Amino acid sequence: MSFGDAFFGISWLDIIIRTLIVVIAMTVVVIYLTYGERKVVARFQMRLGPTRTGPAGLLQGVADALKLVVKEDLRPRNADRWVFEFAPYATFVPVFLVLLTLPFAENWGVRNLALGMFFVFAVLGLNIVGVLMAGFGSGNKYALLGGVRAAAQMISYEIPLVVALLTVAMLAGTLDLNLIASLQGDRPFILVQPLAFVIFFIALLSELHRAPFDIPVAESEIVGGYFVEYSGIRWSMFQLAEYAALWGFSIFGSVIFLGGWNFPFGSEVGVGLQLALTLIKSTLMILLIFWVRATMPRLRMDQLMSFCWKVLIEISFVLLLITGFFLYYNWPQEILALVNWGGALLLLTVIFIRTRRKSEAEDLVGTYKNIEVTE
Amino acid sequence: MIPLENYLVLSGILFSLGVYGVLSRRNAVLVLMSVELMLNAVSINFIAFSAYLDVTQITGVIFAIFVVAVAAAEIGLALAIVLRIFRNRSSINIDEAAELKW
Amino acid sequence: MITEILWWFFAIAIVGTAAGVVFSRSVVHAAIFLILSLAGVGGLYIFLTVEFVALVQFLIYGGAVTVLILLALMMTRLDATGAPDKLTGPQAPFGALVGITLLLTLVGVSLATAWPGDVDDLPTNITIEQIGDVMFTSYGAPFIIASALLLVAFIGAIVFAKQEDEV
Repeated sequence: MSFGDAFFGISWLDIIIRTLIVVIAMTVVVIYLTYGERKVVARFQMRLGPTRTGPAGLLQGVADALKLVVKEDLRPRNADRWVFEFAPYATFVPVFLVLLTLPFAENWGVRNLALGMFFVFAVLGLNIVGVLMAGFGSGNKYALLGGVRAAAQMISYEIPLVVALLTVAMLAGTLDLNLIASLQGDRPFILVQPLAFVIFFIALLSELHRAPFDIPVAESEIVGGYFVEYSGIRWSMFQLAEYAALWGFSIFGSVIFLGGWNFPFGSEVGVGLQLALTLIKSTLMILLIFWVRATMPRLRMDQLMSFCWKVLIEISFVLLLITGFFLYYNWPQEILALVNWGGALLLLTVIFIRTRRKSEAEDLVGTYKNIEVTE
Repeated sequence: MIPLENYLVLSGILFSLGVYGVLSRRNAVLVLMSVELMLNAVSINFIAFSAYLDVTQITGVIFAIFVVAVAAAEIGLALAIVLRIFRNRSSINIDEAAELKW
Repeated sequence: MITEILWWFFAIAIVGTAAGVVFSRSVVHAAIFLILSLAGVGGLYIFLTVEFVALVQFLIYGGAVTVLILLALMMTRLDATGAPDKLTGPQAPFGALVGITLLLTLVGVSLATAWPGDVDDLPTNITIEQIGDVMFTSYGAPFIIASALLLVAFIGAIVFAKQEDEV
């Protein structure tokens, strides 16, 4: 059903049915994303991943969910009761609100907002409050520290995320997600603004607390970060929020940069093919995120923050200026695309060089020479 | 549907709650939170007037956007000052921070 | 009908959580009540058909100001072993007096004035194109001054909060 007509013609029933469809889809996708991540990361590490539960391990996600549901619900005595109990919901609700505004096919979705992209930015900010509440409400110094670091990371990386998406909004001339997807009929925005995609991708990894920026949630860091005191269903709400955010933002990224339901075939084909296209593109982005997780080592907190404030913010503002100039003077878009590709390659080269700086120390491992730390 | 006076009364209540908070709370951060309440009450007022009485030249809406920007700047700077005071005195009780130098 | 019920729900939520900010006995609860109150005000802006300002409210107050307040509260707490400070000072009754006087004055003036125009009607739709048009043509100078102000506040906050130990 498109946005225009309602199920059964009753508007409140229509909203409930659409929301239920999104809830069911989200639950199924999240369960299979946990399984899929373990399989993909395992294959990168030359092992098999879960294979025993069900055929080829397909019921692993269901088994995990069942285990979490029957666990005991602990609450530490020092915990601030209301803050502790509301924090998982405060983290989950913004993610769900993002899922409600995404277009899954042309005019298909729960509701299409004229300010769709800006709505996504606004509720991203509300996620941060949930993380701080979780860190504070646990009554545990390490959870508080993990929560404060996670909040600082999310706040810092929100700036390049917003500015990179604003350049695309300037090109498209609109903030409406459905309209942005329908403008990419002949050329997806990743071909015109690849630097914006690279910045968006890196900032997205940090907003979702994925590797290589997952210091707050890594198990070998401060005792598991800001959700160390949560167990059972409450912990599963945090995981649900994380994987639902992963899925939702992959669809968001594919709508904005890869053309969503529109790119190769346009809008004359039926809804089924458009849904399949959205699925394929968002799966591509999810696989890219898993690939980066399996490949790159974790950044330290100060490296993370200095990368944001010293590299990403400057590049994103320069990109905003350049896009502004191109749009104001009406220069052709091909030159903008060239500048962007050059910028994207430059950024990736800089990142590549900086991650290989310690190789001379590695060559000396196993010999008896002194290894000088040249940092 | 909803008369204009509803919005004005609501913003009046919010403003007086903010004034009570500024005058009677002792923690500096709580005083700043009450100032935020007052600024929001004023913004509701501006936007309500602009939506009901002045739709062609929406001065009130522009004013409310600037109020949000200025409030964000002000609270950033004020919290930095509060952190400094805390570092010097280990307490942010504004009743005690009443002298310039001790 | 449903619009009015929703409006009253939002209004009561805003006043209730604002009272929670001002009367609560724990600072972190007061901060959570503040974000709920500001989110309620944002919801109210949607009734006034300015969705853009509502989203700006969520983004800035919810995403930035509340996080700043919570971080400042967490960094300025004394140890959990000390007895919590009383948060309301001894001049609270005078504050209440001033507050009640102000409330009666404001409410009295709002209800007694005869507002011009069709004040019982639904407000007409204000679009983001209109806001952008007015802001960048008539109010361009305040816009640039506001951005300079934000830059100054940004640099000032960094200078103030920097730690000066030269270890």
